[in-house]
Amino acid sequence: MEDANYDKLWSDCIPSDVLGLISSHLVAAEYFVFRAVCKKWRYAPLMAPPPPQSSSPSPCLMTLHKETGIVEFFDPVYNVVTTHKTGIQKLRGARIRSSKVNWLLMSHGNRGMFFFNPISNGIIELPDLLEEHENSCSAWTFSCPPDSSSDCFVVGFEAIGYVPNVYIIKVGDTEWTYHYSLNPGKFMATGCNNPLFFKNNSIYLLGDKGNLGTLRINENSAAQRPRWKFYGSYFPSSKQQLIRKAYTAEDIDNGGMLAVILSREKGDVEVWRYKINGKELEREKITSLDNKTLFVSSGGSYLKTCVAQGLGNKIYFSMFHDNNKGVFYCLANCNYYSFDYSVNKAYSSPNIFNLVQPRSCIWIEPEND
Amino acid sequence: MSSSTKFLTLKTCDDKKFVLDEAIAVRSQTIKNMVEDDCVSNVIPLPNVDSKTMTKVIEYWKKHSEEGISKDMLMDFDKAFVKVHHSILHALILAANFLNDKEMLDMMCQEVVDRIKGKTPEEIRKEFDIKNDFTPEEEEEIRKENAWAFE
Repeated sequence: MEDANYDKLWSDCIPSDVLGLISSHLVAAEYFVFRAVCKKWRYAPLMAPPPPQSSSPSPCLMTLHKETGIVEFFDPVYNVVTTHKTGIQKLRGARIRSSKVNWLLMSHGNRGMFFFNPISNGIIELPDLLEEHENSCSAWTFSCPPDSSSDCFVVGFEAIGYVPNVYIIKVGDTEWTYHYSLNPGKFMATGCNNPLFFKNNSIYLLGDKGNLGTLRINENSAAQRPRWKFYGSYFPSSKQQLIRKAYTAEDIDNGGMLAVILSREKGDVEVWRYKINGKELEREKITSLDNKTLFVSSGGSYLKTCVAQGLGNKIYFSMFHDNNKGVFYCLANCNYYSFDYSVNKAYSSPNIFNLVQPRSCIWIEPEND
Repeated sequence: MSSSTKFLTLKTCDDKKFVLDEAIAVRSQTIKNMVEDDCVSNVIPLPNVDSKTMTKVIEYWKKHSEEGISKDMLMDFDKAFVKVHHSILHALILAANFLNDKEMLDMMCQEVVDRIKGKTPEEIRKEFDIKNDFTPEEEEEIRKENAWAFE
């Protein structure tokens, strides 16, 4: 062997632009770990990784600009808007209600309801809501993609008083059914924004007081009265008062629900695991997502196996920093972060004061056919 | 029939000469430019590349110019090709960069990337024999900048 002194090869003896090229193949934590190796690497040109041509490992945040019907997709791993669709007439003034796979449930005006597929631009119309009730539902969900082979039920919750009244339709039916709540139970869910439709025709709703309501849909008909059940105790009222927003997501692998609770003005974060065991609700506060990444927004929240190095145990919100950089909360050190591939230092803050939430946006996880 | 093959002679920094089909050599954009600008006399000097590295580069070029070679075979070749000590990887990257062969440079960089992924800064230094030239304070500061990334 000749000269075995290699310790300068990758620091002094490599052009900076080559290092920039190498680092542009790295995403998320990999990119910033790279810049912590040595000085030469740290000061290599900051080159953002080019977003993937095909599908990304992560859900993306879709923003709808209501006035124009313009739709944008934001990829959190590449930290950039990847797709931009110019004004879709049908979406002007429409409101996003819920998402599942490639489909969004949308409402329009007081009674209009339809499905929109932002990948194919496909639209599936639903009958207008009933004239006497219109749309005063605060939360909507649906069981499966409306173009799939199984029956798709769409359910809306009018959570004004105790125990929500429920709108139901089976895609293909010509009329909605409105079920008044006859249940005397004390279950408020005015803050619930994404009811979870499980495969067994049960829908989970997080109650305003931290308890859980489940609604079981008859698998054959929307006209049949669905059945409510209620679980769990209330959170202490001191805690209830501080809650400003809660998001729920299916707890994949554990077969239950995760609730992300934002409290106080500054946006403290707590994560609770809900699981029904027989007749009892098991509810516990958790401090780790087992290295998964959680994406939360009104109408669509998803728990995914860690989407990129360093993004495990993080919660992505539907918020932005500095206009266009994604925001996540780190459960390990209780801070909000927003990284930027063009600077070494990430934004970090214990509160949400400098963060912006677009009016109309939702996480979706498109599947390529 | 095809026109007669034209050969180029490449001379590495250690004075070794390589005679190569021009059609293969122009995988290097640098050589291609020289040929197109007609500034090729008899011998093309490659002052930044040694013969050991050039042998590897030519091996790569020839394999990737073989007629009728399947994608799978090329993938297997590439996989084996990049499995080298980091000092050779380094030499090949510098050569690909100098010769301006984007395809080869991308492939070599991808190998570096694969060796970086999933590692801590300390593990990366070990992998590439890099000296940590940060002071403990600097290192602490860097970790703080992206605490989320270093868990």
